[in-house]
Amino acid sequence: MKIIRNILIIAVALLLQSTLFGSVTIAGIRPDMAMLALLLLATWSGPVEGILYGFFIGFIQDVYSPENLGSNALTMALLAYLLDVVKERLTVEQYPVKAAVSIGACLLHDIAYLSLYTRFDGPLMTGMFFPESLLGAVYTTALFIGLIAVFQWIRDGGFFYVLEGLFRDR
Amino acid sequence: MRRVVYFLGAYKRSVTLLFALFLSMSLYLMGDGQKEHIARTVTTAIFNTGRFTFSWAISLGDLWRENRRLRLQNLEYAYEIQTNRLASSENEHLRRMLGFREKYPHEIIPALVIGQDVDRAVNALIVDRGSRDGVKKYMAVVTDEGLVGRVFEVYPTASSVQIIRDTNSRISVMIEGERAVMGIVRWEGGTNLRMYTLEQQSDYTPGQRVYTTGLGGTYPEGLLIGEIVIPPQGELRVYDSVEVRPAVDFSRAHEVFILSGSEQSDIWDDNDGDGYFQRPELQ
Repeated sequence: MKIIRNILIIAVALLLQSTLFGSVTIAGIRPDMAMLALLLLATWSGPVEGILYGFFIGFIQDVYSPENLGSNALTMALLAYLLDVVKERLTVEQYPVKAAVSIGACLLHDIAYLSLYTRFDGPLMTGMFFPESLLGAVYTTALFIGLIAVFQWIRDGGFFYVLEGLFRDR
Repeated sequence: MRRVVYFLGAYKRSVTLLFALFLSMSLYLMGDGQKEHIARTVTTAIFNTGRFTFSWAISLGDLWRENRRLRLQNLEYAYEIQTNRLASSENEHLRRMLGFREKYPHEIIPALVIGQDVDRAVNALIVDRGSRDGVKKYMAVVTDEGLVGRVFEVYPTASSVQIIRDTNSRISVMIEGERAVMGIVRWEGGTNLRMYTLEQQSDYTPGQRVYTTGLGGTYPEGLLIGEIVIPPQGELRVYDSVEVRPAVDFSRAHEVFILSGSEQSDIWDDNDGDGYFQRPELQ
């Protein structure tokens, strides 16, 4: 059941990436929905599943640009592994820590991906990294924190409190 | 082997990472042609999976549209069948008329039964043809099944037909067979008619048909009255009688044919009660 849920999350994230968030931008910056899906799945899954999901998400992204096939798969798998290491070493319960981890993951992904994409062309990579990657990391992190908060609120029963309040006799 | 399993279990995260990295690097280092091929294969697989997953919804939509189309088609066919039935009925009617024309030398006036006579003393039908259509009193009225009766009242646009199942009706008839047995048919109540004959101990059999003789001039010769349903009891009597079931179901006679040129009467009335029977005037 979890697998279906996780595959659905990946599918929705990639669909949103290629449709809604492809045109809705803030100052020309788009959030990385694939990264967002990876952050969520890495938070909820174990180490092996996280790496496999990372590889899978990256691979699907690669399929859309086959000239760089494998680069996203590699960086996402690596990132899933690092996220699991961080999760093991640090307590990432608090929102600031989550945000820091998210920003770090986004930047690391972009560095690794752009390195492979530009074939380690430093100036080109720097030009592509600033400012898109930095702002994109903030945008993605904001969405990630928001989503986590919503999920947490639902899990804590907040949603049902609201429903109960709506239907309570006055 | 056990060591390998233990190693894989203990370092599963690292092993998985290595496996993913190896796979990714392999993909990355592939030639452009191979990359294209893999990408196309995966894309096709994803699209096929999506299509298969959501095909039920697409099928449901198609099914709904097809159902709607078939319903409309069904309505069209139902209308077509109804039209064909009407045409078939009309065709049958025309065939019957054609058959009648060949069978009888008289001119045929087709008519529709539009009601029963309100006079309960007379068993009669009202038809939608009258003097304007050339209908005259005492014309024989038939259906394709047999004799119905004769016209006894004529109005400009309608006529009243006295059916043979009426107390005032007397018809000269004969039973089919090698030796024609002649007699008179009248109605004495009930659903059947009764035929009286001077012949005694005649060998009637049920199902034998009874026809008009044409004697007396009221009805043309050869019109079917009905068939014998009860054979005689074999008693020695002056008059022998037999029941005749009318060939025509009068309650279902909707279309009739009036035989023009058959307007004579063998019923002589004693209207003034002077003991002399007079032949009615022809109109």
